Amino acid sequence: MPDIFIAKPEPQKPELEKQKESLRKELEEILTVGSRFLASFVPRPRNLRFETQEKKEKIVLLLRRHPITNIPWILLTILLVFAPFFIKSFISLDFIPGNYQFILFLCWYLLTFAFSFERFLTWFFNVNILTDERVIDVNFPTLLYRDITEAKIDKIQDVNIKTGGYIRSLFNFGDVLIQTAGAIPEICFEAVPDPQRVSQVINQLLYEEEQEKLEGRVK
Amino acid sequence: MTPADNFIQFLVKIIPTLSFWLLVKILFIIGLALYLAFALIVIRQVGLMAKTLDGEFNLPLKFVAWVHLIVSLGVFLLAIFIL
Repeated sequence: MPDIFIAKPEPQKPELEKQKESLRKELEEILTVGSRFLASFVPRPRNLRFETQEKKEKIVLLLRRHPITNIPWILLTILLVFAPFFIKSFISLDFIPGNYQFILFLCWYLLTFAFSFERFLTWFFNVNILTDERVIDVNFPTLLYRDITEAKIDKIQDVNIKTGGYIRSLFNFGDVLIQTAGAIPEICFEAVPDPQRVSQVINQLLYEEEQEKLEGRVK
Repeated sequence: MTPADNFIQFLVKIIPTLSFWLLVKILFIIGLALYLAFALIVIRQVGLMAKTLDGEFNLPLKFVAWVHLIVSLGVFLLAIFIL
């Protein structure tokens, strides 16, 4: 009688090693591209640590919002810098004494600086971190308020990518939605560059974590 | 009469005797004092952010925050003396 189903022989240990090696190479390839200074896609950042990082935990990928998302506030800052000159050329400010004009001028530039510095800080420190153990979303929604969301890699259930619109398609950035089985059902990496690559990295990390579990090397 | 009522009465009495530009000066100084407090909060905020994410670029950012505070203090003092 012919066999209906023949189970494939379990891969031998050297084969498993080969698979793991190829996966590691794939991950390396994904993570080799990207500049470091003020970048929004930083693979394996050097000299960087985060507050809750454990001793053996390694940062695999650091993400910020795509730099193009900064264009609106940069344009507004440029407009604010030149605004006093425009105003002076259209409206006569002679009714204001010179010393008051001077202080007003300084106050204007202090406020302009404060606005742009706050925006820069928000962009620079609102990061998404992928480590070999966790996914972390750091947010600073307002002054002195901090919101850190994290989930273990093995709690990830699904990874979705959301891109759309002219700008996002043109500059290749979008949202990566990570659904987890933890207390926080969803972690969102907003407007990150190359969401496809980010999703690939998460899937690779998930696979590695599963392999570790199978081999009983879970930390 | 509550202290708040006393203060309002004091303001009602004193404001008509002040010149317009003196009133503007007081408003400028109050505004700049508030801005000075904001500059201090920015330093605290940069410290908190740098503690959360400790990287190479934190030192220049802290420096900028301190320069911002010093400039704010300078403008505050300048407003007191030249207005």
